Amino acid sequence: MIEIANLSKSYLKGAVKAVDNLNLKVKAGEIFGFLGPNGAGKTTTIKMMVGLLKPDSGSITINGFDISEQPLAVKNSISYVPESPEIYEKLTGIEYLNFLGDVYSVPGAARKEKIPALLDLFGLSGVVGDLIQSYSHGMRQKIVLVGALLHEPEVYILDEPMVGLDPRSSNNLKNYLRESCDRGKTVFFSTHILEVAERLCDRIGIIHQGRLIACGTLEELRGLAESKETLEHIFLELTEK
Amino acid sequence: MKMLILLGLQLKVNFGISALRWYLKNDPKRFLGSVGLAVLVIVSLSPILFVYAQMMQSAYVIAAGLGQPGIILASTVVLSSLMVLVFSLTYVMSVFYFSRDLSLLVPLPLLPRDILGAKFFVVLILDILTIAPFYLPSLLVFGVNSGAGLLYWVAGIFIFLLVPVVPLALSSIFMLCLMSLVNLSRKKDTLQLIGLFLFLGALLFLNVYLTSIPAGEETDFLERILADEQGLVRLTARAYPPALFAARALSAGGGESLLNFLYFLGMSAAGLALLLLVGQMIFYRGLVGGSEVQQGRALSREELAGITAGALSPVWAIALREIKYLVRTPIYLFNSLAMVAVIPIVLAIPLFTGGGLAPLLELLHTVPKAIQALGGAAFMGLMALFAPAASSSFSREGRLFWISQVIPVSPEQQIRGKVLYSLIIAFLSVPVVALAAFWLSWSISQFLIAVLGGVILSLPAIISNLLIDLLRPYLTWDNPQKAIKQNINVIFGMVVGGALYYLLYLAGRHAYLATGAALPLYLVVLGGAAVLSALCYGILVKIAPARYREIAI
Repeated sequence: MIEIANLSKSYLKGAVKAVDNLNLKVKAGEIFGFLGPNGAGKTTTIKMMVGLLKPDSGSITINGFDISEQPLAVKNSISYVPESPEIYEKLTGIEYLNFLGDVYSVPGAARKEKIPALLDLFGLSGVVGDLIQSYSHGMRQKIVLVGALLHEPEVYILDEPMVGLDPRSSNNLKNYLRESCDRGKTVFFSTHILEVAERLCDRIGIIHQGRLIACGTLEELRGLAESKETLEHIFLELTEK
Repeated sequence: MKMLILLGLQLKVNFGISALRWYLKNDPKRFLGSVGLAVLVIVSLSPILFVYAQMMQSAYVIAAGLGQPGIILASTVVLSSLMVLVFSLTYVMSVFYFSRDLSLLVPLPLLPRDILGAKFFVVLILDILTIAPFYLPSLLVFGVNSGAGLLYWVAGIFIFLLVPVVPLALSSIFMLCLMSLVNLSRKKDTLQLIGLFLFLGALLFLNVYLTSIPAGEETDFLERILADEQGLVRLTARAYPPALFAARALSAGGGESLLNFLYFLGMSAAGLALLLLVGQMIFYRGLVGGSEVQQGRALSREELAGITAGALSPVWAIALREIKYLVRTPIYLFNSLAMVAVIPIVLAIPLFTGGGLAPLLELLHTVPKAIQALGGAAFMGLMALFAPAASSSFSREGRLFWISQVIPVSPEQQIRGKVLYSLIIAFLSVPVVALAAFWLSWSISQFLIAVLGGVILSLPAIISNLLIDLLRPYLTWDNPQKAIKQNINVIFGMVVGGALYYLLYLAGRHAYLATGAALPLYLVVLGGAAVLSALCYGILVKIAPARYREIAI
């Protein structure tokens, strides 16, 4: 479903490698957690996956479409949640959602059904008529998530989606993503919250200084580290090397 | 279709339609405030508009006397188009490439031309609003005087809406090419700025070249122009050929009007189609990765120690922060420097086109040296007024204003830092004053008087503009251009600063005419500037602590 091959991105004429020859496959129905310390290359990778950055080399194929060759086909089949919820403040929540419904061609009937359910899921029903300007950081994150879930894409690409969410919303999101993947959807998300990755992900990739230093199920990662306890211990050990 | 959906959204966002509707329903006070502000802008500009309309009326009478009243319309279309061509550059750069919503739009299933087209129309509407005060009075003067019929008014409004299309498409295509080239380089900011100034310079030279009268043939040329019924219109339209179609569409009458209208419409459609075609091909080349910032190499401990060793006073730290932001944001830099940069270019044009500066210098030499030096100071003051450094000072901080609210630097110190920064911007006009000193053979002391006087004369504009911006800073902008170009405070700043300078001019003129001596003139003008500055500064520092507490982003 997601195939990243020999992906590289560097700055300073190659002196600083933000992403270094990354190879990765994520299957349909899988939740893939993308971990790494700050500045490891997570967001750079994600931005290249959604067409916000151009790779120096390598390819990214999502749902069988190459992001460089068929960007529109890729974008139609994904949804993206950015690292920080910078959205249109001068729109009301519902205007923002309708806009996304329009560009993803979500039929009116589907919107009628889906939007209230998602708003309830994240506790936004009461404020959806308000200007986004009046939303707190967490509420903005929620409206971005509702927008991302609205068109039920094949692949969800989420950059730190849990940041700013209250425990109930965070739990609801995790359940929603799990159910979606059970129906064959794919989730690729970055996070710093290792407990979430540990509990939610089918497989985990750890990126460090632009290179994928470990990738596999939690059991497989335990095999790579001396410390076998929690993902936190494994992460700390692998990223120290 | 998706372009239209996106356009609807862009209009709601950029023109605050959703917000206004929401305020009307939930916060009528704020709604009235927003509408009231728009009315206030129109009212504050109305005296200037009235004077402009009167000028147009006089011009019409002269042009009608020569049998060529159409020149009024042609020159207005040329002026409007050139304004769009020049002023749109930074609008386009900002809206196309630096809007915050782009990182949201690019991952959506939209074609590059959908995003480009929707954003183009946003800039188009801004341009229509910009040229309205220049175009509509001319349309009115010509229509009323010539007793025009319904078709004239309908065509006039259509042309009004279409005038910016071709020049805007041209500057957009230039910007698309510039940004896709610049994106290949590491020095993006520098190249963007060089590109902007090159375009501006090329435009000025091209314009002078196209409209220049062949040397030695001035009399013949004028005779030919006046003998031809459309001579003046044709001459004016050489600066911008589509203006001929627009002017003829409105003034020729009958089938010729229709034909010219269709030409104008066709050119506008062709301009738009070309933009969308080029945009579809290269828009993303300049956009994707365009905001990437090159990482520098890691600093050694010694380097780090060196950099962190020197401590600045809070006032200098604030001024330096502003300067760094200016230098690293091409849109701010261009807007702040354009005026100062354009003047040497305008002065240089006659040197290249063979006219020389002799007539201008001859005229200036007739003015006493003391008045010349004060003129140099006034020039610096005017540059301080026109550079939107102070009038957008708080607004430019945008969402990051919270930092200024939490840092342990008093509002007064922060204001001093901003005054210092604005003075540094005003100082950028010193080379032009130095050039004047060289050409007009000033002594060193006269030059120093001009510069020192310039500092004093800059202060009323700087401090009154800071006051205006602090009263109602525009902090919620989503692209940096809005902090300057779509910031009402900048317009109010110019109106208020202009009024203060007018007062000083009147007082100075009175003093000079009464005494015939330079000293009373200096005392009145510079002393008056100092008093006005002190007054504004007093109010500013009095209200600043409360404003810093109250402002919520």
